[in-house]
Amino acid sequence: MKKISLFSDQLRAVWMLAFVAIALVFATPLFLQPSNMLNVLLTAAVVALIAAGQTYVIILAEIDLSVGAVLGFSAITTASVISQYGVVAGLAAGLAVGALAGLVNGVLVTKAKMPSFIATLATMSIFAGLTLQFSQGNPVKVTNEAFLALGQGNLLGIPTPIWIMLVLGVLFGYILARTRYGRELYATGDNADAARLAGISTDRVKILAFMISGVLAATAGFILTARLGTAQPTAGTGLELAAIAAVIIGGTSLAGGRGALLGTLVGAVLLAMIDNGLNLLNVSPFLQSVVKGAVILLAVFVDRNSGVLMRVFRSGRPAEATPTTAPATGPGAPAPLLPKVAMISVVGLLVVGAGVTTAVRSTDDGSAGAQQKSATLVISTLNNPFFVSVGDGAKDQAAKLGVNLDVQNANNNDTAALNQATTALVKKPGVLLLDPTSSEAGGSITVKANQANVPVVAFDRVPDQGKLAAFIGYDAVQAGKNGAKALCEAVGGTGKVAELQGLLGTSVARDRSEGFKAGMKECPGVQVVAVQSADFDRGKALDVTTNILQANPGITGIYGANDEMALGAVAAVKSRGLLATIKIVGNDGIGDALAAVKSGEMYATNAESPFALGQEVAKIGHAVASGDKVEESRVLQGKLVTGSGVDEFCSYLRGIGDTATCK
Amino acid sequence: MTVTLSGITKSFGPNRVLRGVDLSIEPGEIVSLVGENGAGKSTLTRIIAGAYQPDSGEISIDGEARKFSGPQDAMGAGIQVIYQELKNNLFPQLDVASNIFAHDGTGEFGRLFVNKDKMHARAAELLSQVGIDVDTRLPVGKLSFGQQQLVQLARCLNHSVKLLILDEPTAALDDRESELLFAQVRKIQAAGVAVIYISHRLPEVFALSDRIVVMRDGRVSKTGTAAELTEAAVVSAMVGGEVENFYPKEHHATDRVRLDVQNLESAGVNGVSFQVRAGEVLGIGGVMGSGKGEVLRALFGLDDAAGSVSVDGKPLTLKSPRHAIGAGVAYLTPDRQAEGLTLAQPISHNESLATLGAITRNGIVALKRERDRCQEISTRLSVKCNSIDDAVGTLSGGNQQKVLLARCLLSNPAILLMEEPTRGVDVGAKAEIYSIINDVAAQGVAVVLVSSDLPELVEMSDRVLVMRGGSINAELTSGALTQQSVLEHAMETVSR
Repeated sequence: MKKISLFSDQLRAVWMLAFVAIALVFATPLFLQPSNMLNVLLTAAVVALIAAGQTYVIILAEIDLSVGAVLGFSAITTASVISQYGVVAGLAAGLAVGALAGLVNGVLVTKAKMPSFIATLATMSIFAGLTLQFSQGNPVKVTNEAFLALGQGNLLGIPTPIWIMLVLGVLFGYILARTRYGRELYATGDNADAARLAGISTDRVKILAFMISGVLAATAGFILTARLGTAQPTAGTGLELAAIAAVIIGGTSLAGGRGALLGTLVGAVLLAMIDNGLNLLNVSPFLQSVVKGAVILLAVFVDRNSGVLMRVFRSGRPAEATPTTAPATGPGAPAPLLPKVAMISVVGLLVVGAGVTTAVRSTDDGSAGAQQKSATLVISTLNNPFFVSVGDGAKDQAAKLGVNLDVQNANNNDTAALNQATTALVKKPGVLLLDPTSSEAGGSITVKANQANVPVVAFDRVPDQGKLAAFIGYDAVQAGKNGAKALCEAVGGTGKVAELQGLLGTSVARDRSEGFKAGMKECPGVQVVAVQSADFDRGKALDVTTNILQANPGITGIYGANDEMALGAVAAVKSRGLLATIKIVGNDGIGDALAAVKSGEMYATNAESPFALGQEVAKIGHAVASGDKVEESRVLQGKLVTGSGVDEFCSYLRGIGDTATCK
Repeated sequence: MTVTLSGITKSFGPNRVLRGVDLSIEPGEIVSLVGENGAGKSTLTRIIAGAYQPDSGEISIDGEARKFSGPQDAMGAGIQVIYQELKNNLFPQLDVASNIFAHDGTGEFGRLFVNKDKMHARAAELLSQVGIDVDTRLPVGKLSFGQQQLVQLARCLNHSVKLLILDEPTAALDDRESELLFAQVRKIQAAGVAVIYISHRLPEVFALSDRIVVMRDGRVSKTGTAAELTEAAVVSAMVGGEVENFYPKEHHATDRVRLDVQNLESAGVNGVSFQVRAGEVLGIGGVMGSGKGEVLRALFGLDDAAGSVSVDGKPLTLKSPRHAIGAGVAYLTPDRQAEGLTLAQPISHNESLATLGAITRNGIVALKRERDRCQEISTRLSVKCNSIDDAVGTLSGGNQQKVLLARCLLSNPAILLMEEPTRGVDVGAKAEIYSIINDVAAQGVAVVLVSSDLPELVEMSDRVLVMRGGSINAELTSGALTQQSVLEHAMETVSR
């Protein structure tokens, strides 16, 4: 057999994994719980599968940026087909979409001779757009039990996604290491001209690799869909970068010709473990991404400087000039078996150890009483002042009540929300406060919490399944109606207006838009001439509004589905000097918007005090955790604030302890 | 300028590359540095050029001790190097003039905005000094290797060179281009410049140099004037013993035609017809651009080609390397690093790359069979390595070439096409490759040998075709086959 160096590309990731694991064992007792070990692997599965396909492509010195979009595309396809033709047809359709997408990428790269970075960047955009077009931005629900078992089922106490990851990992690892195709892949990636001269059809090798990447992305989509119980059109967004990171951490070289699947799987588990550990340790959500970036840098640094590090490591011995002069066996040469044992024990410890002792898990439940005074808040995003304020309100109230509140930021990502909630449940908090990224993800989380006997208080968006202890939220449809009413009033009941929608595929965007449409029906004199999405984002709204103004010079009003977009519209309108003629209405009542309303730059905002919402959530959560009776559902209504009402609204906010919104 | 080296040593880790070298070069003198690969020639020149610092020893210029902190420092002292690898020296996308002035720090043509007309005029002037006439606005990558070498020479002239180091400048040149270069080198010598010339081609070395310095194992093993020494003496000083017959030619040609080529046409090949018999080594000679290499590329399916070709009576489809390999044709590329080897992969994987089908069942590679096959062929070709699991990139040039040959031979070819089989390979490995050619011929393989190395072509071939302008100009056998006759037919009526 081949000699394996302790520092070989593949094993480096194993060492890093072991290092992080040991650090986490000392940092928190929760980490080593069998159920948590399973969480780590479960949350790694989706990225691991995408990364497995990406490994094939990267060994070819190419890259596939479209995998996240392919995942979304095939997930929507599968979910749609299942509801009509059953699970087998659905899976076949999803895999076919993945393979076809890969074929397109492969043909573009080989026959059309396009650099893969550009080709797949373009197809990423195309596939993502097609997905939104076919689904009209709506998630597609799946109820087929057999399919859901792919994500939610168990075998021998180990969740199905982990089995899928292991089986496909072994299969595709074997293909790389032992088959003729694997050989041809490495040769093509190392030196495509040489491979061609050796009689290899390099185009065929490349196309097949992109197809494998597409098929594995589709498979990852099955797991994600089955875990959530729904296919989200944007489910895969950003996963391509996580997958590439896993591949690189796993020791596969971007230059091609070097790498293997074991490293990639370990890389994916390492990324999941870092997420898990940071969640368990309650590290600030903002710093979590700093830590992840640092780990990726460290991995690549070690990769690029392994020679130097090795010399430092063996500082007692003279440096060696070239690999050729290194003795085959000698004092410094590791016994060939040792690294394998280390590798197997680390990975095996995680998988087998966790699986075998799952049975013991039930005994953990008794200790929950001591943690009654703790709560976890999983919030959909903290990149938006509205949700930051919700978090502040909840923290404020929790502090008043003497509750230890742990806040997790899901970054608008269903998978992240699901993973964070799953991790949080390990800690057995007194109550789980949940701001679902989507109703479907919220549903899956609620069911999990029900199983773990942790009560759930959801807010802002209703989970589609599971049992809630309480729900509290603003009425998004009514918010849209309020906005329409205000805009109608502002433009004097006549003329042309534009609507800026939120992030397509999110329920708030849908509901507010629905309400706005309903509201505009009652304002027959006003015509909505432009409807565009600006993703709830101020910068995008600036660009979108600029374009709308160009296309529709005569408009007199703009409605932004949130204040961020309304403020982006203000900036665009201002730069054209049209503030006097165009009235702008927003939604949410964030500080900047209130200031803009007061100064007259905006006409009104439908203020939904996030701080008050946060306080309310914490209050109800505390009551639930203490076993008190609470109202099952409370719908809060926003308050339309126009110029004269700003001061009054601000003094109300200060009264409840929100000193940040109105400066 | 007199450059004197005394007691230079240099080690890389445990590897002692130079073990105390003394050398002195006078103005207007051409000193040739010869030795096998790994003898320390390149390291020595890099030390003189300031790219490496010696571990001990002293460099003095005109009696004054100098320490160069880097190549810029050495350039400042008038030391210029033309390295073997063109890509290390030129920027292929930039035009000729920009390349000539790439290292120019004088700001002669303006510091921020370049006065292009002035720069191109000056470039043309320098190029005419080295005897070539090319458009100075062409990207350097579009020029032939020979022209590229002369562009480098022009660059050196611009820097008032006092010591010029040429590291295997003719490795990629044909004889005519080499002659052009030598003429320029002699001109520079006459102007009082000292020249260090490194080459594996002994006839050149003897023709050009005043003094020959032979290196072996990091030391100077022999030194003398060209008149005092003989080729045999130099070779024995290089290898450390007498080499009996450098070209151990055996004759195995039979009557059975294995390769029949009729009216082969491709880019650079105009209607070429020939036959090769079992056990025969057919040499093809010619200058660069004569189409000698293109014939092989066409037969192997690398270039678009037409013509009727058959192997053992069966027609050969000129479509892709896959078709050619399937029909029993093997091809040894002249550029083993660019299009031969996959350098990061193990020796065994490289050797079996073209014959994976034979060791694959249901798509799965039979590792045991592969190891046995590769171990056997590596032993047969004496590939020097710790293990066949080592990456090919860690081997020396000669051993890399043997790995590539092993790949060709594993396919049990009917036809073996070889182009420049000993380029950049040291003397020991050369001899080994020649004996492999003998063995292969003895087994009845029809061998086609394309080479710019005239002695090799003449000595190792049973018969030689000389090509010129894409056609066969002459066929030379036994008595008529001499280096002189090959050259005459290759260059005949060439006018420039």
